Amino acid sequence: MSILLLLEAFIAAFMGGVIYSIIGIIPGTDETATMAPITLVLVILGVDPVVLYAWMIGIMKAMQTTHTIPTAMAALPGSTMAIPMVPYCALGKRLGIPHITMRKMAAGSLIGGIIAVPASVVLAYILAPFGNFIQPYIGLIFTVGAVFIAWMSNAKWGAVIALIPYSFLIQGFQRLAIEAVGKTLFISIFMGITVGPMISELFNVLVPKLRDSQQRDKPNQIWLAPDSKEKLPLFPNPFKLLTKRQKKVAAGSSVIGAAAFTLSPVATTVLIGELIAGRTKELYEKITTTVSVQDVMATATYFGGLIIPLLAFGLPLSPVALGPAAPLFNAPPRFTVEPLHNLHNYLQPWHYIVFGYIGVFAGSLLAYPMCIKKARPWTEKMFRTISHEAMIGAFLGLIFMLSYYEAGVMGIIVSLCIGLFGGILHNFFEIHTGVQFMGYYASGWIVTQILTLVGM
Amino acid sequence: MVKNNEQKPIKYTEVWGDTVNLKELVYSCMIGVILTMGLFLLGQKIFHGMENLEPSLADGYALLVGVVGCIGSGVICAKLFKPKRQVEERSEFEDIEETLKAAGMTIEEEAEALSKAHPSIIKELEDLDLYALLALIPEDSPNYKPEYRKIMEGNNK
Repeated sequence: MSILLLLEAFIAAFMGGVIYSIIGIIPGTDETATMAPITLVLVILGVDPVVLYAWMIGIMKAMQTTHTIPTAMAALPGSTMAIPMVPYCALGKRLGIPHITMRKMAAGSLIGGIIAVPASVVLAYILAPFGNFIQPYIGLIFTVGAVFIAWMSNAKWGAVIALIPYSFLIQGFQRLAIEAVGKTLFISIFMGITVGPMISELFNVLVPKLRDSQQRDKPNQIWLAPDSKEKLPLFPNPFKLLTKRQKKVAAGSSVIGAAAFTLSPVATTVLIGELIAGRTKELYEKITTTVSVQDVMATATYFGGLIIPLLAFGLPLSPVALGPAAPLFNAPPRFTVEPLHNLHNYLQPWHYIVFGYIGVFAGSLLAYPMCIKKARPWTEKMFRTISHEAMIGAFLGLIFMLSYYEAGVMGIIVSLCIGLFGGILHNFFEIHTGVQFMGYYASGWIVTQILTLVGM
Repeated sequence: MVKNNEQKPIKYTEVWGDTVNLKELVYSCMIGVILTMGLFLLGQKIFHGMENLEPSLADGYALLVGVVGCIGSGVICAKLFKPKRQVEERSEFEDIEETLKAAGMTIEEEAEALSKAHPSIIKELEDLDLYALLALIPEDSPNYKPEYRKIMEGNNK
């Protein structure tokens, strides 16, 4: 362990923080879609495991902070995780306090991060003894997890049943890939699932009936509230921005959020947020307390979902580990789940705390003051200068490149096919991408069991 | 209204949460894919040509070059194609009763809750000049201050 490595981790987390602070402002960006590809590039480049970990924490922290900007300012979710905050942010806007809701959320996220890092490490220790027990049953556990996540989705039994054809689809592509390029695929399938919802919407445009339903007469309208007049220091103490009760609720939720690592982060954020909102009667207090707790939850479930599975098992057993942080668990040939060879094997327990805090701090370095000071003008500038077309185009380029990198043209074909089918499942049947990621991991076991069962 | 052009009105299509012009979207996708892939393949060619570089590392560097192309395509498309969204500044101030209604609450419930609110919340409301809420506090509450209603009335005049 050298000072150089600490410095490297800090720079990585800070640079990541800068990039993902900007991505967080862009409304509707998906954490998995934006975090996984770039992280994958860093993994392939051979960046040191502890630096990768600090980077991951840093970009999560940054995005969980700046996604509050469009959410509070325009009631447009800055990321998938910000969706539960939209109704309360819309109320805050009506009350004329979008800058306050934003501040409360930024403070909540920072407190959530500070508490969730050590809380996750402690929880991982409690759960770690089960690691050896789990190992022989990975396939079964992934399947149980897939069924559980599927049943938790809006599609309910539809999603559970859909796991079967979906598994055959995935395994079918794997067989094709073995014949074409001599190995099974991960990146291409993963990227396909990630961009599926967008591919499917682009595909809709080719179908006259669906195209008509997506057509609009006028451009999307976005309202921004005027800036506040109040003066605050550049990096105000987050604990000072919350009331006593809000602080207590925030601290408690951080631990709950980390502990709920296997559940969908959006679902737990909704759950705890509504629980707190229901117990808070006064309108202003209800809005500010709920949004702060929601961003605490968003941050804490993300940290718990990264740290606990990584430290305790090394297996992607949480939606976060299956989604945005997937390349830290599985990025063949460098990191693999079977045999277990990933960050789990490299990181010491104290690394999780020290590099975790480096990540939290470096990731907040730009995002936090930005939310406090610069949110309003920067948001407006971004809205006015960067077109949606430019973002979609660049994004598609990235997907093509990563799939090609894994398996040449075959990778691109697999990625687009999985994207189209997965996207339709996501957009039309509400079998969301989380179910599909889990389905990918469960597919091998499901297909083997079914074929054995029918005697093939 | 003056007809300033005879063309059909521009149609917008909603894709992935925002409105786009389809033709420009097609161009953007082409630019994005060609530029990213082009630079990646170029990078692969250059780095694989270096003999003292490991193949996996060479691919990694090529990916970085590709990412540069990807960002570059974003910049180019942002310059070529303007955003199809309207950004407007407006502070949406509505009747407090309407806002409460949107939150599923009544004036009475809010007044009751305000009368029991913690002083720290009352202080924050004062800092934000939220007299529309403060004026609702009933007289028998420890949070009540006569000036709230006076200021509120003064604002309304």
